[in-house]
Amino acid sequence: MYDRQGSDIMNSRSILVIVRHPPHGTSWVREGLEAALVGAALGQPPTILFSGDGVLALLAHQQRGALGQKGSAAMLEGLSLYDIEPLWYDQRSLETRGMEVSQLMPGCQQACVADLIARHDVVMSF
Amino acid sequence: MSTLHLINRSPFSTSILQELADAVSEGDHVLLIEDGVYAASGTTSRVLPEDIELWALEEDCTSRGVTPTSDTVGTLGMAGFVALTASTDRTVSWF
Amino acid sequence: MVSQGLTYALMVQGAPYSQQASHSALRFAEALPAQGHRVATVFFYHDGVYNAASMMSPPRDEPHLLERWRALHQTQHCELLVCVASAVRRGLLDEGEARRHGHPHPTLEAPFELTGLGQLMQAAFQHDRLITFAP
Repeated sequence: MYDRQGSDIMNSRSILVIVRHPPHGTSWVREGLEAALVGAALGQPPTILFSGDGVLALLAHQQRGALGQKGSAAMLEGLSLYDIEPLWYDQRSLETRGMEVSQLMPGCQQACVADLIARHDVVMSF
Repeated sequence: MSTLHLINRSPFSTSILQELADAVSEGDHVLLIEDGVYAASGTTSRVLPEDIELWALEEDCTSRGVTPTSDTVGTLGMAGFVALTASTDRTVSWF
Repeated sequence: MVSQGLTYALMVQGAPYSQQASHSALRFAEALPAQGHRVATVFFYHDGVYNAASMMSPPRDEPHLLERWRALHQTQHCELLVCVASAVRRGLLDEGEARRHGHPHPTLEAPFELTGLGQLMQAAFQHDRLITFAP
């Protein structure tokens, strides 16, 4: 997962995208995912981690928002098509919000956050 | 290999410090900037493990009238902030 | 000992005059050359795109953030890149976008440039450090 072979030397730095805000109320989740998708399109799929309120973006059974806002659930479910998988989450954030793994959408996996940060060259926060 | 963690939110309106406590590695640096410096005095920063270095940005402390607890929190000027980003391998912003 | 200077990318996500993020980013960027480093790319994302509003007109006793960014561009030769998707949604249009959307005046001018997120990711790949200045 962490040691992807970048054929392009310029693209040899690994990127971790951390999402720490809930979906719908602000555009953070969508903007973080868009950055990750562009990284994947450039041939270097970033690792993506949901921590803090970011884990709320992983709840299954979300709908479109008010005024036709698209939300982020559909984007999240499509990330694996771009080799962005799994959807890493912080277990403590899940617990403090009274959530269980069974409530999450498919493709999620528990992360050791300190490890994940230490293994990447660049970290982008949303 | 170490990480600089930047915190710019008040510790009283977020649970960032608790979340960060699990995200740091030994030898990491945590720098409090902007409203983050409200964690520089008092006891809120005690949730962080002792094997990290805790700093507060001096100009943001001064503008807010915050006096950092000197035995646990170091103070840095903007030059020190720059030096920390250069000496660590990566910077993570928590907000 | 002369250490090798580093190149920096800054991602600015905070709106000017509502949050301290722009001020912090500018103060940080302006302190880089003293240690042999330079900012190579500033990428404005989220509400940070408002930093590029060409008609920004703050009171005279307040810092003029747009002028400070321009000065940074001149002294450190950095790119000032503005996420096109975030900007156009929020009404920040360069001449081409203004024409395309039928507006008489652009609201964003050089040295700011509308670009895609690809430029942000390239900056993250290419430069030695990426620092996020968030709201």
